[in-house]
Amino acid sequence: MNKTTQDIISQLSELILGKEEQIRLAVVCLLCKGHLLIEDLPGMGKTTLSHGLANVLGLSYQRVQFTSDLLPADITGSSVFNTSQQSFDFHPGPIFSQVLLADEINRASPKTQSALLEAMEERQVTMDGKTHPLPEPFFVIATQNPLHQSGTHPLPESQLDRFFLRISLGYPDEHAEKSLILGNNLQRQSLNELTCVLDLNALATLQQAVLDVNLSDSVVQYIINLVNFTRYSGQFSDPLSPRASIALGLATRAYALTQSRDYALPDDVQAVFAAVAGHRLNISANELNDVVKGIFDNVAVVL
Amino acid sequence: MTSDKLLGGQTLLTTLLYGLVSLLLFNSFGLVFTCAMLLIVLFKLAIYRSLVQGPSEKLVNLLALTVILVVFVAIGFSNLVEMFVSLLLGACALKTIQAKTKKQAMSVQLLNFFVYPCFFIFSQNVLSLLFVLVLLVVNLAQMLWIEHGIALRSAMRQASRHLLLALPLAAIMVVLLPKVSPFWQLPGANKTQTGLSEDIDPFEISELSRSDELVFRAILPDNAQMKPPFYWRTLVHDNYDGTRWRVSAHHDLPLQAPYRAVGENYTVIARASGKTWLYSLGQAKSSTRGVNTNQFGTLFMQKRLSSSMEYQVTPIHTIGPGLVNWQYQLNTALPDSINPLATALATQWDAKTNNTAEFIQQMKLYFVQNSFHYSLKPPVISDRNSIDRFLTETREGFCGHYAASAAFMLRAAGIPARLVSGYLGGEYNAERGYYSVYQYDAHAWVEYYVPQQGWYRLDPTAWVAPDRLSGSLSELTALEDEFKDNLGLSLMSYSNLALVNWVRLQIEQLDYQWTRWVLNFDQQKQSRLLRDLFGHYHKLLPGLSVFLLLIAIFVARFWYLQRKQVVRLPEAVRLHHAICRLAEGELHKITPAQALQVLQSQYPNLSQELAEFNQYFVKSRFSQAQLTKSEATRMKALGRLIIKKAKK
Repeated sequence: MNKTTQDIISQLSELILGKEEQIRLAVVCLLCKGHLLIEDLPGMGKTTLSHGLANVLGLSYQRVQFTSDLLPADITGSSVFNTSQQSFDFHPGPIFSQVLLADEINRASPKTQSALLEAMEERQVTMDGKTHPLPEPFFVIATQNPLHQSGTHPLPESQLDRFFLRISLGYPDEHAEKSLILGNNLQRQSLNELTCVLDLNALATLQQAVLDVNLSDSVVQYIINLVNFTRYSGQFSDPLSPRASIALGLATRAYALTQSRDYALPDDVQAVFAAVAGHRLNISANELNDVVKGIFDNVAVVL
Repeated sequence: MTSDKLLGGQTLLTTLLYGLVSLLLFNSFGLVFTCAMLLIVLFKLAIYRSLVQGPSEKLVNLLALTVILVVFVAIGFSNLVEMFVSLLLGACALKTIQAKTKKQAMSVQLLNFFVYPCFFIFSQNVLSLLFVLVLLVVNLAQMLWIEHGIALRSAMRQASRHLLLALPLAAIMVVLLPKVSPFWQLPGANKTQTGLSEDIDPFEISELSRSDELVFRAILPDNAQMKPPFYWRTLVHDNYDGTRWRVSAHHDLPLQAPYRAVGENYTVIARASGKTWLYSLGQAKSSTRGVNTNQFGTLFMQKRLSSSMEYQVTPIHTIGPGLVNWQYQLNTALPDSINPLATALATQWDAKTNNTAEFIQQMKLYFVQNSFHYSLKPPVISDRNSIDRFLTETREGFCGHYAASAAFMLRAAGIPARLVSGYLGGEYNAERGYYSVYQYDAHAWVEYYVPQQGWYRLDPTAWVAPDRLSGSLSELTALEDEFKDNLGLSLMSYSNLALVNWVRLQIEQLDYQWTRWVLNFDQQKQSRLLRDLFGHYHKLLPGLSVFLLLIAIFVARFWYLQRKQVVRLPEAVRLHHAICRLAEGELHKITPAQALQVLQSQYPNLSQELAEFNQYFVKSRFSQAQLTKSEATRMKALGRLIIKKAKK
């Protein structure tokens, strides 16, 4: 079990160099059946990561480039009149795939955004009174440009909460960048050649294993103290919700699993905290490190 | 501001308070020690202002040695109490200079609970009580600040609340706990203040320094016998050497002569004086333990009066065989050939008159006709024939002058006479019905002997200043300015302002109640109060309260132990905390892995042991699997090993 997660991470690390921690978090998100939000400037490898992830996991993959004129039906699909059978046939949109990459989600109009986010939460699409379930597993990776860029519609807080994790890849270090320039990583063309290390059953087993990771009382208390700090210190206008606490607990367990442990440590909480809480606390990616460090300094680890 | 700076501020506050205390006790400590304390305060201030470096250990030891020397030389072993209190004060002040950590600062604050109440050794009035209370509140607030970082204002509020909470408990303990006489007592602090003296030579004094310090209070029965003027007899001076009137060696011999009680009992509440003598109207006997009557009929104690004391007085009249030969000689003794003029006057009057009463009449006539007048600032007469010069040249003086002159002339005529010093008058508090007698009420008068009848009082000052008899000196309008000049700065000097006087009287009354009901709350008063409160069960109460207290202690201990067990950390965590303390910073607040890194970087030679300990620790705290017995033993051993090696 431990080997499979390691495999996924090492495979993807050959694709995106020097970003093992972010890749691990993306895998954590997948193991927790959550949706992932990647916030970055263009050209940082967001698309590569999501595509690679789908390929490694052996899942079907669709990509939608969000633009301001994209309509809800362009994602969910539409009913088309079938002249031969004299009936409306449902033509499923790109959302009916196991991994959906919603590229530059904040370029679309709020109406389209909410159509996607609704589907993410319900895991089904209702069209003309008919309910069409989405495939299992269903995993949305949305990418987002930093909000100061022009022509963007920022996602509202309530919708940001639907994303399990938010990560940002950031610039590669010098060594990784050198390798990139020299083309030592797998090329985009060879994306499809990534070995598929997982089938659906194996993924389900892994997702079940997350729940078996031991979360000791002290770690739970630490999570509660962290969440309470955001609520009662008065430093945050959007404190963490119980949904965030649940996400923290789950992500902590999954993180411990990727570290091949069957128990969680306070270190695991700290590793996932920024990704789980950052977008929920409405903190921009570049301030995140300082704010999170401040919280860790103020909240003592429970032993 | 850094925490160091704040800690410095707190200890500076304590040092300043020490400075204030030693200034207030200036009279007891003397100039040298007070200056030494002020120097220490200045030094601390300079350190706080970063004008100078904090002292090295060597310097502090040197300073401590200096303080000890100063105390030994300036105060000395003759005043044991002052010596120990000043040593304590000096040591604490030096500790504040040295204190750098929270723990050291805390130890100073804890010690203050002992240091500040030492103030009571020197003064027990209600103002001192308030002062010490304020000091204790400040001290508590400082402790709250140092330990929990609570801001000064809310710390003060909390500290006051704690003190208020403690008050009912204190009251219950005072009222209910059985009064046991102390097993040992501090020797009283000596007082070197103004007051009566055992030797009197009025002619050497140019200015009578008077203070408004309270000497005693008296509760007199309201009957015809007890009417002013009140002459409070205290010391009898019968030994005259030509300049000084001394108290004879027989002053503390108990009364041998038979006596009978005359009149009603009254109560006197004396303030700590550091002396053995007490105060009574006329001749007196007391039923209070430890209070004796000497052969002059004045009261005295075996020990020095080191704390406030209440005693009962019965007026008596001795029925003696009269003066025996040596007493007659002592009371008529005069040195040869001094004051020829006064002697001549006395012989002249003696020849003219038939009895003592007529002689005194002649003397009164002399004083009244020759325009003598009363003054608190008489010129100094340092002549051998001082009385002659007083009678012929200066003709102004206070009670001592007139009393000494009259006694001299009585003796010159062969009439036994002696000087008596004590207090005259007293301020009446109409609301509570008691008299307060202050140091400025000090007075001197004469007693002369009439054969077969006994001793009679004669106050020659009354001939010159008849107003002096009617009340306290403070009420004497003619001398108002002069009197206030002598007082210096005190509330009494502004007593003509109605509000100030009202405040003064209120404080005075509060002090009276405090002295009466708290300081002098003895077994007798306790049982009376309990009888009033609880009827005839009162005898059981003190025993019952002790019993209840024991039960309360027992229950509290159980409760505490139980509570402690709940909060008790698991052994692994305690061991981890102990290891975390090996390094700087609050390692127990970060994750074990991070703490491990810090520790390994500080103790590279222990890095293997640390890693192994951490492995067991993490397993015991976070994993579902319990440590096996051998693993637990191994972890404990590792923990101890790490601490032991790291401390080397």
